[in-house]
Parts: sequence; C-alpha cells; structure tokens
Amino acid sequence: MKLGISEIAQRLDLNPETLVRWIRQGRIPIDRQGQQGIFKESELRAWAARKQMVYKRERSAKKESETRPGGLALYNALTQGGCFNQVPGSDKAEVLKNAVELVPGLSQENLKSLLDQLIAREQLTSTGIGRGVAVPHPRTPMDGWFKMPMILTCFLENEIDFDSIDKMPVSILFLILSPTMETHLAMLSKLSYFLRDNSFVDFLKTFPAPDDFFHQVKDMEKNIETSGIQGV
Amino acid sequence: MKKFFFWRYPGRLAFFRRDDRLLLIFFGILVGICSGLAAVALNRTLLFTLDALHDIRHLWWAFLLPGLGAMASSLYLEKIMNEGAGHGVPEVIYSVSRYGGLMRFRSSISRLVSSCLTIGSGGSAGPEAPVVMSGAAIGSNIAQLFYLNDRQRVTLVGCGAAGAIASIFNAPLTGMIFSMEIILGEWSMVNMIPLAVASVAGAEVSRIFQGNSIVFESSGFHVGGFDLISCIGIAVVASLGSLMLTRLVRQMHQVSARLPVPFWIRAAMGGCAVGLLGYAVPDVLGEGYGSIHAMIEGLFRSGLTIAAVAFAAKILATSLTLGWGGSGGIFAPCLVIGSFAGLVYHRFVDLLFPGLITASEGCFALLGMAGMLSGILQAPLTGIFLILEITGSYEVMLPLIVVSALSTTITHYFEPASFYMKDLADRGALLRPGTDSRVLADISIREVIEKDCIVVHPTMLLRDFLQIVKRSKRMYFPVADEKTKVFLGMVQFDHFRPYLFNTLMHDTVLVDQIMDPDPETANYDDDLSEVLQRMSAKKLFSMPVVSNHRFVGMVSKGTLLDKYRDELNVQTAQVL
Repeated sequence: MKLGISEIAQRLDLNPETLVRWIRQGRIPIDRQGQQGIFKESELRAWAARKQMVYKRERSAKKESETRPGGLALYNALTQGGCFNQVPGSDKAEVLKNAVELVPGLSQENLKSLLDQLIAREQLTSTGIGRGVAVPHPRTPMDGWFKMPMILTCFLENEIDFDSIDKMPVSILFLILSPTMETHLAMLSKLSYFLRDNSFVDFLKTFPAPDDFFHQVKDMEKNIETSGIQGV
Repeated sequence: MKKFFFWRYPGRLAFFRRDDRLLLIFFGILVGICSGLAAVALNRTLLFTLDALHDIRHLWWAFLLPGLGAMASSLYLEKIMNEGAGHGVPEVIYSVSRYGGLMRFRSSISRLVSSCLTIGSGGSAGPEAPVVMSGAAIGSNIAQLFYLNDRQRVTLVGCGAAGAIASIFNAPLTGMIFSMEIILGEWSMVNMIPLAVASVAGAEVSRIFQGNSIVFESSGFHVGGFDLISCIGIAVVASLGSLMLTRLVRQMHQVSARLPVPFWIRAAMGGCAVGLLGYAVPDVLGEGYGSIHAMIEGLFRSGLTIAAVAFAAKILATSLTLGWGGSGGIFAPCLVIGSFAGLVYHRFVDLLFPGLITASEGCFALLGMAGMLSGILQAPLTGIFLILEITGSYEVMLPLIVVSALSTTITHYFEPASFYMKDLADRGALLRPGTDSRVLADISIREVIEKDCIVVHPTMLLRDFLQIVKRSKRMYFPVADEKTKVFLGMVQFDHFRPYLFNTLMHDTVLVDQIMDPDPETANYDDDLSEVLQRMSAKKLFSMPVVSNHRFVGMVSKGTLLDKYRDELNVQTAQVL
C-alpha cells in the first residue's frame, strides 16, 4: 500500500527524518518514491514487532474530552449533582449519611461503601476547608460508577462542627464524586479557586435557590475561561 | 516508460523488499566477477611493467626508477584523480561506516594505475590494498547504478573487496574473511552468503585467466611438538616487526609532511631512497614475491646477518615508499618482512641451540608471514586463512594459529588500533556497526529535537510567566526577544523555584532577571556524541538547540534514550 511518509512515521511513532533515513539505509521494509512510502502492512507490522516498536493504524492521541473536562466542567458537574437545601443532621456522620442518600442513581450497596470511604477520608484529615465550607470526597475515584463527575451542593439545616482548619462550624457541603483522579483534581482545583473569592462565599452563605446558584457559577466559570486563566 | 526503467530498480520488487538475499547473491556474483577482473588486470600490468623495465634495472641510474614511479603515481592521484595518496583501505572502511559505502566511480581505477606505477618501478608496496579499493568501488557503483539502499550497498562493497582478495591471491576463504573482519567489521549471516559467492566468483575469474595455481606452493613441512613452543618466539619477533613497520610508516609520513617541498618531490625522494637501498639489498624492491618463494623453499642462501639486514631494510623501504607518498598496499611487504623475520629467528635459534627446532626454515618463514600480517592488520583470522590458502600447507595449522593469535595480542598491547584503523581511530571516525559511536553518528539532532517548549519574553513578569509554567509540559523555558525572536537564554525550574510561593516577587521580578543568559547550546549540525559529552561534563539533562540565533527546540537525554534504543534495535539485527 502507498502512504505519505509523515503518515507512516506517525503510525510507527517515529520522527519523519528518522524514517526517511532508515528507508535510505535499508533498515525498514519500505520503498520510497518522493514523499510516498510503499509497503505491505502485514510485513511492516511483523517488522515492528520484531524490533519492539509499535505500529498503530489509528492515531494514538486520546480524545481530549475523555480525559480533560471541556468547557464549563464545574457547572456541568454541579448541575449533575444537584443543589439541596436544608439537609438535616446534627453531627458529621449524620450529615454525610444524609448527603450520600441524595446522590442520584446509587444502589444500596454502593451507598454504604461510599459513606465508608467518605468517613475514612474524614478520619485522615477533615475536608473542612474553612469559612464554613467542606468538600467531602472519597480518596479513590469512583471507578465505573459514573462517567461524568458530579458535585452535590448541600446547604445544611444546622451548622455542625466539622473539625475545619479554621475551627469554624460548617454549613455548606460540596460532595465531590469523580470517575478519575484527574477530573477529581481538576474539579477540586476549580472549586477551591472559586472559594477563594470572598463574595462568592458570602453569596453561598445566603443559601441561594438552586437556579440562582447555578447561574452564578456559570457566569464565574465563563469569566475565567474567557480570560484564559488556566489550571484552575 | 516505467516498464522501461524497471530493470534499474530491482530493489523495488515487492519480493526483494521483504527479503533481498537472492538479489544480493546475484549482485554479489556480478561484483565478484568485476573485481576479479580488476585484480587480474592489475596483476598482468604489473608483470608487464616489471618485464619492460627489466633491461634498465641494472643501469647505474636505476635507483631513480622508484623515485620516478612514486612521483608519477602521486601526481596522477593528486592532479588527475583528485584523491589522497595511501593504500585506500581506510577510505573504504570510512565510507562503509559513514556514508553507507558510497564511493566514486573513479576510485575503481585510480589506485590500480597509481599502484602499478609505484610497484612496477620498484617501490616497496603491495598490489592488494589498491585492488581492494578498486573492488569496493566497483561494488559501490554497481549498487548505485541499481539504486540499492545503503545496507545492500555496504554488502556489495564488501563483496567487491572479497572478490578482489580472492582473485589476487586465488584465496576465496581469505577474501570472505578479510572483508568481514576488516572492511565490514561485523559477522552476519546476511552478509556472509553474498560475500562467499563474490569470493568464489573472484577466485574463479583469476583461475580462468591465470590458472589454478597456489601462489607460494609448498608442502612437506614437518612440525615437531617442541616447535609449538618455539613459535612463541616467532610471534614476538613478528609483532616487533609489525610495530616497527606501523610506527615507521607513520613517522615517515609526519617527517615528509614537514618538508617544505611539493608532494610529488617528496614522493620522488622517498622512491629514490628506496632505489638506493635496493643497491645494497636487492630484495627490498617491488612486491618481493620472488624472495618469499626462495625463503619458503629454503633456497635463501645468504647468512643470518644478511637476512637480518634485509628484514630491517624491507621495513625501511616500505615505510619510505608509503610514508613519503607512494601508492600501494601493505599486504605484500608484510609477507616479505614476515618471511625474513621467520628466517632470522630460525637461524638465530639454530645458532644458539643447534638441532632444537625440527621444522625447516621455510616453515618458519611461513609462520613469520602469518604473525606479521596478523600483527599489522590485527585480524588473526585473515592472517591464518591467507597463509593457509596461499601456501596450501595444512600441516602448519597448529603453530599458525598460535602465532597469529599471539602476534595480534602482543601488537594490540602497544598499538590498540590496527594499521588500517589507526588514522580513523585518531580522527574519531572509526564507526563499527553496533557500537555506541556508530549509533550516535547515525542519529541527527533533527531527529531527537523536541519542539513543545513554550518561548517566553524577557520583559514578562514572573506572575505571567507562572501562568505559562502552569500549562507547559516541560521544565525548561527558552527566552527570546519579543520582536526579533533572537534567543537570549533559558529559564529552568531551578531558577524560579525559590520565588514560587513568594507572591510579592510575582509582580516585581522579570523573566530576564531569573534566566540563565549564557546556557550551553547545541546546533543542528553538531555531532550527537559531542553534544552528549558536553551534557555530561556540565551534568545537564537537556540542552537548547539554537540555529541562526533562533531557538528551535530542546535535546534531552530522556528522549534520546528512546531513539537510541530504537536505533540500536534496528541496526544490530541486520535481517529485515
């Protein structure tokens, strides 16, 4: 079959210059005519296997959207999870149990396991990040439970002691559930960036209605995406 | 049209692309025949020249003859052929390792003519190396004619050399082994079969034209058990001789290079000196096969002293011829010197302990040849097989192996690189297949460069710079002028790590304050091995590549390891 030199180089994961040199030196079963290479696919595949190299038909780059959250990732995660007002509970364990029960589409068994993981994480160090906010999450991603990350926003009925770093009682929970560690870190990073903003925290303290809350997040996320601040 | 030109692209046939052994065997035969013909031609011309000059050789001014010959040969090489003097084997080796065996067409005849002039007139040199070069050039040019790739061309160059040696000595095995041991420097099945075929073709051509004769036919040597021990001595003498010859040729070369006269006068002077030496010791003139015959058959009547003088004189004459600009090979002089060495050793030992050595003088002359050849070429197998094939004396096999192996080893202690390779090794141009330097020489900087570095500007604030750091995948940041794009320096992670969390610094420090304004840089055309050496010296992991004052990318050891492995994998196993 006949293919462009650069295409073959890509399939073999080689620098085109290296490929051209190998063809000239006769180290690879390809003939060259101008910018085209003539070869037999099965032959080349066997050759690559012998030389401990890879030969791939498809491009190797994974689709961006699979590994990296696209636009408005935080907003999407928040709407996926939902926003709940007046979540009851008088201490940490009780609040967490009530919050976990709000997670959509979980079996009874998974629910138990998720709660155990959350409590285990809290025992390590508290996820109360100060100013009345906590971000409980399991240490390992919820592999295979869901495809998209989700964050449950819970405004609590009572202020409870969460062993936060600033010793303040917590009234807002963001329960972060992600399919992969990468998305988890991206979510956490973005969320904590928002929470550094005092006015946003003050806005949260008013326990806004879900629509207002989502609207606000959407605006803020749009803002940082257009301003080009990356890595948050 | 395509059909018409098809015969010139045999390598493009799908059948040969997968496995070109049949193709190489076919071309091996062709190359073997051609280089065999070249060898026969040189041999015939040499005989003719010797015959033609025979009548004037006893005249008083005959000492000028080698001078004239050497002068004509050097003038011819420099002015007409535009090639350097010398025997040509290093050039073949270099071309094989560096340019995939690319050689000029004129190389296939240039050395034939020049060595004919040098040797025919009486200069002390051999016809073998010139024939090797010409055979190699024939192989290379046949490969070029049919658009074969580098690997196939290298094989054909080897075939040419093998055919030439096989033809000139009527010794097919030696041709094959010489080619693998010295020219190609690797033993692989893929090469061995075309080489064998070419050797057979070359030897057959010589047999058709000159008859199937063994050059120094000799037999009936009786080798006693004690001779195995006494042959250790001949190995020592032979290595001494080869060391002397190697050093003297080089020194003569340096001395003559310092003389403030044109090269052709130098060659003439060397030649005349050989001619004068010839008055005293006639055995030093020409290729000297006559004296070898006499010695092997035990007909060399002169005494021990004369033989010793002849031994030294032949070394001197050879270094005068080759070192001062004559053209020819080292093979034949080696054989002559070696047989003198054997003779001298035998007579000397016999003088001290009469009756100790049971083997004849001829046998020791033969061992001396093998020792000398193995010492000079540092190729024991070539020495063993050449002597076996040109004498046909299978009974001396055991001492032959001992002498060859010992002589190679002893010489190697003092001269780590052989006569052919020394110049190349000094220049760092000895690139044997599968070695580190060969792998690195093949990879160019262009192939390992990484271009995903983000270029920053010198007037950038640290805060803006850190934003770039966030999205970069690398720890190195080239700095270039915003307008002119001139490369100014590098910022490495180490440079800004202390200020990373100091927010006060973020708005007060500029990039050009933290950059390294004078980093080590590489160029597109730099040798990778040299770049790596500089990296190791400064303990760097990567180096920016700067071309024409512009930053073009980074070379890093990590990526290099990947490419290096691929290259080594691809280079070492020759079978496709």
